[in-house]
Amino acid sequence: MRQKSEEFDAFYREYGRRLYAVAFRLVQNQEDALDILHDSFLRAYRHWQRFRGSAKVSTWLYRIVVNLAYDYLRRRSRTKHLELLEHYDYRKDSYDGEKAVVHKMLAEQVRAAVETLTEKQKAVFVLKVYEELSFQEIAAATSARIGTVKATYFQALQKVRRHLKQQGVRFHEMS
Amino acid sequence: MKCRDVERYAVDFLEKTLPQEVVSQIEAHLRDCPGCARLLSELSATVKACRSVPVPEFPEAAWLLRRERAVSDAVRFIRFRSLAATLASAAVLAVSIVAVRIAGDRTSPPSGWEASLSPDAIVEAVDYLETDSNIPIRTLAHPR
Repeated sequence: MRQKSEEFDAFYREYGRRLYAVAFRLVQNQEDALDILHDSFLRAYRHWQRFRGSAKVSTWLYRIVVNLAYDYLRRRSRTKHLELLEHYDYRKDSYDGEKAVVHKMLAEQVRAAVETLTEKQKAVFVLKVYEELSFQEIAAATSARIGTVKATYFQALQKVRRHLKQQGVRFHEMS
Repeated sequence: MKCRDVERYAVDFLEKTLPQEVVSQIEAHLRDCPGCARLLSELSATVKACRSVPVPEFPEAAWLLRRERAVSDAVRFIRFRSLAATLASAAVLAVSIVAVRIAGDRTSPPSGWEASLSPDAIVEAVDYLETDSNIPIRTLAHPR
């Protein structure tokens, strides 16, 4: 039992923060992201023996997180319970005053832009932009075809670009 | 190459996964088409802007607490699964024993059935064998 516990602990250490980041970007709420992470780990651990050591383990974990986040987003849209970003607290220490304000504003604009995406667009967008997975990996994690993933990513990227542009983000200053 | 082709290849172009030949065609188009050049530049800047937004840090102590909770839940699950497996094995064994006994009762003759015959029935059977079938029953019972 002790060995099992240590094994699970190591498993959590290895994947915990990465999967938390994905869950957070999908649901935009720390507590909910942590709950999704918790449930994902328990679900994954039940079938851990099958995937242990497999090269596909991270794809499989992403798939669990994405599916649980979908469930969560559906529940949230039904209950209209929107307490987003209540604990949103970006690390300001590394920025000086003006930069921190600009960065916080951009963070808010990006968050709002990503919120306009559909469930599927959001999952593809998050796995591509933040996790930098290949289209093939995203297709495996979202149970979709590569062509569909590419088209979904392009639509999502266009939507976010237009939203940021409407919000007055000046792209030429970024490149 | 046309503008709609640039859109079609846009994500692969940004990912730098296109063959050099296609990249050259797109670049040639971009030199003559400011609209497409702006689109690709803005898409690239969008990715950059999004990546610059970090996930809010979670306090280390709270993180450890969550991890411990997950570990203890996993251990509880493993214990529950072992107990459930043991109970399931015991249940299968019990059902098998009962099934074997029921099947045995159905296929074997009732024990001591001969004893249930009445003396009259035995006498009648012996008479039949001696008189109607011509079998010397005492010879059968005490062969020489």
